[in-house]
Amino acid sequence: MKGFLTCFFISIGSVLLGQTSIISVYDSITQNPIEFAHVIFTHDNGSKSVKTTNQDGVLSVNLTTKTYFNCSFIGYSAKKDSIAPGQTKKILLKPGNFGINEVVLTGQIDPVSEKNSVYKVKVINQEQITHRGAITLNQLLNDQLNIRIGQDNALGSTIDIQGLGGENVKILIDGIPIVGRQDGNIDLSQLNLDNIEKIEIIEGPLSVAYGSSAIAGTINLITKKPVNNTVSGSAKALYESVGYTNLDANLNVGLKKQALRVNVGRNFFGGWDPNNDTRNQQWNQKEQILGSFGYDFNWGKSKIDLSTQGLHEVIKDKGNRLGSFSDYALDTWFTTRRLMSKIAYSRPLKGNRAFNISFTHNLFWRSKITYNRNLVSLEQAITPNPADHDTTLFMGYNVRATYPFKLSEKVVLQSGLDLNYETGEGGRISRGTRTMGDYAVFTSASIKHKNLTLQPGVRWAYNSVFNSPIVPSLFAKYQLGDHWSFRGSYAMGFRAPSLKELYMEFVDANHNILGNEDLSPEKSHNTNLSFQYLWSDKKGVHSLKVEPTLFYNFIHENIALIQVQGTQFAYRNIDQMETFGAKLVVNYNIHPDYQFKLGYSHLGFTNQNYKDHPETDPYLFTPEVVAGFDYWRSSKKFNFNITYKYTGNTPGYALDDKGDLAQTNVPGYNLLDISATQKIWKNRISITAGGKNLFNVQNLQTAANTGGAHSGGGSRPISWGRTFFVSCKLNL
Amino acid sequence: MKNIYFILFASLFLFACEKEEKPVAPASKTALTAGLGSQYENSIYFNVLSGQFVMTVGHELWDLNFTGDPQSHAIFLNSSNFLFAKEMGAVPFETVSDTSGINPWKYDYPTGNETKTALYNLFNEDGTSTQKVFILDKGVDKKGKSNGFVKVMGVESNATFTSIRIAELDNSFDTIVSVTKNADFRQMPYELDFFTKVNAEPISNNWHLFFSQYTDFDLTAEGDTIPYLVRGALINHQQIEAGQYSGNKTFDEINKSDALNTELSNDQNAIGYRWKTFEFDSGTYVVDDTQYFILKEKSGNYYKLRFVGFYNDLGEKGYPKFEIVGL
Repeated sequence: MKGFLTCFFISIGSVLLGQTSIISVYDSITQNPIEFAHVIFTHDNGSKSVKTTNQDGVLSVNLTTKTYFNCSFIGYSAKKDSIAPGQTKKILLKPGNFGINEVVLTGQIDPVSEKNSVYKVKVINQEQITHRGAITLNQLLNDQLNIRIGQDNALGSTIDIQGLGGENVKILIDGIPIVGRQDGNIDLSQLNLDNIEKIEIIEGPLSVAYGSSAIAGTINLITKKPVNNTVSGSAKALYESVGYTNLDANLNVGLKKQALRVNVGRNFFGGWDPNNDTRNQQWNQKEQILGSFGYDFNWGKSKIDLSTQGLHEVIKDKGNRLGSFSDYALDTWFTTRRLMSKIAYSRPLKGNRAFNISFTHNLFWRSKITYNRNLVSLEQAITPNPADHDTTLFMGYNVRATYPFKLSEKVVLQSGLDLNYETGEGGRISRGTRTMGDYAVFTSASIKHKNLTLQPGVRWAYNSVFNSPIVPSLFAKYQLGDHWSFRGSYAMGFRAPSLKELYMEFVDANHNILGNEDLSPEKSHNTNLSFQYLWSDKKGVHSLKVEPTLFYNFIHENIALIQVQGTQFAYRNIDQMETFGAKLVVNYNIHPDYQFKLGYSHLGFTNQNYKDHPETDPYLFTPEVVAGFDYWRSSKKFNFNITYKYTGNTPGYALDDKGDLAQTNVPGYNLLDISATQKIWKNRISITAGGKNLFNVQNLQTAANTGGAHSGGGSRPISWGRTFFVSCKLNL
Repeated sequence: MKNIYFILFASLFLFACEKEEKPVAPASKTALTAGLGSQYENSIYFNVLSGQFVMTVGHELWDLNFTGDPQSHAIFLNSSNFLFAKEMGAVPFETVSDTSGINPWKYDYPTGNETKTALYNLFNEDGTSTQKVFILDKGVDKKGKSNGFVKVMGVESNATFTSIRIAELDNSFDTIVSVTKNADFRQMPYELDFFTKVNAEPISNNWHLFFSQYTDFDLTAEGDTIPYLVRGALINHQQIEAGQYSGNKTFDEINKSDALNTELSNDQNAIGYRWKTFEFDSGTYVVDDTQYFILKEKSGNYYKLRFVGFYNDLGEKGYPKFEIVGL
């Protein structure tokens, strides 16, 4: 059926225009077709368009004139060629460069290859997502060096990058920040990967391009876009033994000038607890309904994209029976809705650049409702105490435009506009709806001189609430021969005070916590130095990549909640902290069968108790090890994958119930995932089965307990333990 | 072949739904409930000998507790309302006009130890005044609103009465208050708006347990102790001793010999509030019904006690449920 449709559309196109060109992409050693290879066409007017090959490695495209293109795929050297209208061309890609020719987008003046990017960009593609059996972002990132995923049963999945917390991490969807931070964190388990083409991660500040919170790192989720001239669809189902299911389907209808893509999905997790018969489960029942819609329209040379994506999530935190003398239990339901709608316009300019502008509306709504449930009659009613219920609403409006222009052969300048307006209410924010406007212009220049690329940048902003800092950055890259490249950077970052830190009002008999409208942003300074050594033999069978990196972060004017007197607390810009570290990642490939990865990182961070307790160590250290192995059968139809990460002991200090300083330790743990993927029925069906967390890590016991009315015990949840999963994807 | 995949997909829907909950059997036992109210507005006195609640009062009615003991000079704060006192030094009473001062705000230590009360330094050991002036923070109402400040100093304490001088910070309502001691009472509640004794505590031999909100302390992340309002049970140390059972038996199995082997104390907070914990995720209190307390009444009767709930049937907090059994 699918073949018939393809033929039908190709022949329709041929009849009308007679200009359908076909590019088929193959591996130069195995002669197997390469699925999802990137083909970037450079059109006569200098504009570029990006297409990908289908599962047979084939791309058909309508052309009016002879067009140059660059074909690349992760793990292969890129190849340049040209194709005339109506022509058919076979491209052989030589393996062995670890994907450094893959196009990266985040924070770039132009879409450039990873190799030429002045930032070091880590790309995770769709294949890696499938092999991990990852449905949401937290499940994917738990094997990354310098990234730690935490679990909080109320706030969801949190992230640390380079030892800095989630409030310092910027999360973007197609380059637009998402709203809805709870205690500074975006819940990563609300970010679904079904509609994600790839993920780009940049460690260190990108505040010039993205403003507040892009301090420790930026994660850009790049969505799947509607594809012209094709009708396709796929459906996927995943079942994980802990009781997690994922169903997802999408449909793409692409005509010559316009294309539509629709995606719907549902995730359901029934809840889990190590103790089988308890009503109150450590991992709460969760249901997520997801949908997205994308529409592209080519209007002359320009392109208009409309897109919207939404999430509806219900978490049921079920309580235990209120003692053996009661028939009741208290259940708390957390409902979250996210909706992000965008209209984007892109117009090609001279040279290979484009003017881009987008308008985005972002909504985050969360409610907490407590029910008193009669376990005998199974009836439930909302509890009478208003403090048991809460609703939070955040809205964000964003206008973002970038305009690059060429000053000379060596200098390209990009100017950008980033206008943000945010409103927030609920969640103990005082006096109704609060607003914050942040209106920024930024500019960065790419200066190329021989093998050296420099990218200085600066951002100015007016903020309606606080004085926004002027943020500079300088990135440099030097290419030494074919094998060595060096990257160095200094960048300043900042984190704006949240609406809660500015306007919180939490006053009852026990609490007197008020926001501080005079807060200024937290400021950070980051330096990064990295090297890359690349080697491969002539055929591209053996290849090696070695990447050592050093980094240092200094954050000052940190916002902290301090005790003013008695029960009175206030937010102040008082703390400072440092994190620093070194990491080394080695990749070795034997094409096409084997890929090995080994990485080590050593992270240091400030001991915040040192200033009061000089007998302790000023800095604390924690190591990480990652290892990965991939086996591919030559046909690329079978893959076996091992992913391993050791997160080392994390020392710390905390106060015990007598108020004395005690050493704490979050013990190290090992995460090991194994999976195998088999493609059948002409690659139309892909079945993956595997095991996650095979060492069965659940909760970590920290060495010391702290006391008091707010003590939570010394246990830190990591995972629900060892599980097995099977997923099946069907391409139509 | 295609049918197999269809069945595979379809079967996932079976796993992917919330399981229907099965009803449980109704609770077979009933417990006593001390209805503090959802704002913890009530304080309740309980007599273990009769198994009866003997008095329920709103704790916002009074500010200070004068001792009934002729040998003592103690004046306690009504810790249910979160009162504090700060020592301003031996300065002329009229000169104290604001709350600034280097000494810390103090609260009564929750054990009930007289020497650790915030106003301990009002009197010398012989009952004469230390001439020290104290600012009294009259605490907060149930919404957290301040009840204001007054200043106090000791006048005299002897076997028949306790006498203190009280005024607003602007020296208005400058008054000498005298409260006659009565050994029948543990403490005598007193309010400072109209300078009247409040009938808010039964005579001492008629009650053993006091269910109420009271001031205890917590630790901040920096290790500073901060006062904190908690809800629990305090004991009448004149009538009863209490301690926590530390063995492995269940509540039903505990017998008198277990009680005899349990270490008891007459600290006012020997039972306290830590039989429940606050669960941040859901914002609910969880009662640990495996904490068992042993009570020894003055005449030698032993009881076992445990808490089994903190909510009423509407799902409102502030309704401690407990089971008490004589041994």
